Amino acid sequence: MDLKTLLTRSGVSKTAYYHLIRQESLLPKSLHALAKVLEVQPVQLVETESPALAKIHRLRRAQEDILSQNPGVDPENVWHCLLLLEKSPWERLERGLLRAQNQNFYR
Amino acid sequence: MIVGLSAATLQGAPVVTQDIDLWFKDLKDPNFQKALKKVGGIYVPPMKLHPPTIAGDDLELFDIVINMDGLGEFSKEIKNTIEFPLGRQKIKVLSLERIIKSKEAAGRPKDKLTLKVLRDTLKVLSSPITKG
Repeated sequence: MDLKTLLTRSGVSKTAYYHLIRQESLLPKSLHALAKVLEVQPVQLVETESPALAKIHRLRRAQEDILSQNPGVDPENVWHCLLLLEKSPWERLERGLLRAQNQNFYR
Repeated sequence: MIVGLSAATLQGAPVVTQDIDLWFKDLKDPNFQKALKKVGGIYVPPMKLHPPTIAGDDLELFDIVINMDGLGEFSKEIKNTIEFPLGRQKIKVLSLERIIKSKEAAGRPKDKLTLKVLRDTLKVLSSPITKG
């Protein structure tokens, strides 16, 4: 896609575009200052991912790491174990008991 | 101590369990009888082929274990427990490694079904990622 088409489709003027690309950073200076103290990249402070989605991504990365280190383990077992480890031990036990009651084992 | 699949669940194993298995050092311990009485329970001693059990409202979920296949005596296995806080108490839970060993020794069809899940859980727990 050429620049002219891009600007036309997005409704951004040439002036605005060239102003943007001349900026050293599009993030406020205050954000850079905070990031410097926290020793992180500024972009990490503007995470727009929801907490629920962030959790899933974190657990997926953990699952992938565990699977790569342990060939032969069942990915579903790893996934469900990681989900349970997010809960307190007593919540895990409650879940195990409730599921057994709901399943009516010997039907 | 808590043993069996309930102990495994506490440690993160994604398994279902119908009851909570409790292994006591000495069923004749007066403190055991006292605790049971406090929660409105009754100790039912072993009869013929029936193992000892606990009776009482809300206690049907608990099962008494008197020995564990493939494991040592209580006094030895108590050293292989993890403590989980519950209120002001610390509850001893048999480690997943020992639960796996007892399931392997028991060899019942239902034990064989859960062994893969338990072994995979142990690998997850042993991973540097979950050890933190």
